[in-house]
Amino acid sequence: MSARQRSRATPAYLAYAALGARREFAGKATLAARMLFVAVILLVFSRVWAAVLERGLLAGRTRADLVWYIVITELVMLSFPYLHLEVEADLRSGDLVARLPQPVPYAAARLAESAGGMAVRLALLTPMALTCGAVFGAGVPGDLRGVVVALVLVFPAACLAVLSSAAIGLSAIWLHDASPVYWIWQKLAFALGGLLLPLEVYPHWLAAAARWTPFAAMLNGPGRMVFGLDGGDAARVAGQLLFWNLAGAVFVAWLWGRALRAIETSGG
Amino acid sequence: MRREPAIGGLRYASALVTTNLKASLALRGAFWLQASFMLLNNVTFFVTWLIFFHRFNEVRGWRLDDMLVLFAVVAGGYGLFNVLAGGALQLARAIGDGDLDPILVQPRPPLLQIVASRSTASGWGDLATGVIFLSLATRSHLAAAPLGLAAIVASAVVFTASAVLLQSLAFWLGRIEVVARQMLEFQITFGLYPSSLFGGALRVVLYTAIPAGFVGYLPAEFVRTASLPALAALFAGTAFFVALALVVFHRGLRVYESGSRFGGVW
Repeated sequence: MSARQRSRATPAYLAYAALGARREFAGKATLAARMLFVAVILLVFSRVWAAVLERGLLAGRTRADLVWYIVITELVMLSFPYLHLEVEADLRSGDLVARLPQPVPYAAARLAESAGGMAVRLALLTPMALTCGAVFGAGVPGDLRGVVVALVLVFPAACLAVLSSAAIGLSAIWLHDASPVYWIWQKLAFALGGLLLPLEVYPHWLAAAARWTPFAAMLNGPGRMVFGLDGGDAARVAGQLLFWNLAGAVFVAWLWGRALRAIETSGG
Repeated sequence: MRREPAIGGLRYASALVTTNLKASLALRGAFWLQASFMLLNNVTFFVTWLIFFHRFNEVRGWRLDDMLVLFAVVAGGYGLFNVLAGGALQLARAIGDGDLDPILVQPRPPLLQIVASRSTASGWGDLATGVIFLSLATRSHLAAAPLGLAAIVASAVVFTASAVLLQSLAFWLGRIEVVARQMLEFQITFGLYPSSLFGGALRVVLYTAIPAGFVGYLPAEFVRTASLPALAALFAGTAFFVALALVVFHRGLRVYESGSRFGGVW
């Protein structure tokens, strides 16, 4: 795509993002359910960590630290729309093939829509998650600068989740059902990203292995910022997220090229 | 005389379930993909608990084996529910769309037709998780294995009753599919954590409004202790939720408004 074509496409992508944002606002029940889910998970884990801390099993950490860690990791996991379900539905209904002649590539248009939806989710879920963090964490972490940095890093982390969801959705072209792939991706994110337990709790070998995966940069990276601001670590996490987002974008573009060939071969 | 309708109903239910299972298995590739990935999904999720108990050993009296039993009962119960009674999850949408018409004109009990109308392949993955985790948890005391299977069945019955109860609220409240699904998700979420973490008012909620206690804690307690009081409480709780679901569904049918549809989702 030339520079001129790109500049022409920008308003179209913005329009797709606005469409995604509007759709997100329209799905109030889903948003409310997600907000409630944040509250439930924080309630459960505030109890888990209270039980662990009352036995003095995790020195140097407070309940607020650990609950706020989950506030950040859950924000990432709940803020991206389930793009894989939309791609799968488009494939089944034939909409995907119908949209191929449009000037904006299907995958890019869907990504722009998801980015718009993600922005709305983040805007609405963040105040709720922070409030729950303060209530269930019995306060706020000692260093609020870390929380601010964590919130900034949530955005590129959620972008990485959107790219992952797009790649998973495109897998439906070959597998016909993307949900099983999503389940595995989600649980790998739980286990290797440290969704509920910070990686410092993990056995050393597993934590070291997890840090080489995109999941750790996506969840543990922003999450551990609430333990206290460390400029060097924050820059490292930002760099890792940039790298994984670029790698994810390249992978989705490559997958889309393969998908196009598969669709042309099979006739849609 | 009185037994005939019950036997006929059972025969009809088993025929429906068999048909659904055949339909699931007809798409063999999709069936195995969903079932095996759900099993893998559950095992990966449990890794978090392995890590947790490896580091902290116990939390308020709960150890890894206790978590294995709890996870086995909840996953197995939810799996069995999805395999045999997955149609319950479509009830609110059907009520909202006025799609119950084709069911209501048939001679068989409508609720039976609805709940047994769907079987999901991923449910087999959950059920397999339940059986595998249960065999791991009871490896040193095999006598507990039959209790575990009974606990899974009880959990599945309460899952079905809860789904019918929540989805039937659509008779009065309209489009509540998302909320009903989310409430069931909460039941699973709470059910997968040690009961000793929750006390006071929250504990009451977990045995009433969100009956996580009856799909997880109590059946797991029955397997762990093999005690008669746990069995009695489990039986009473299960019977109560089944009765409540039946009453709410049939009351709801009285206010059901037809969608005047000739075809249907069933």
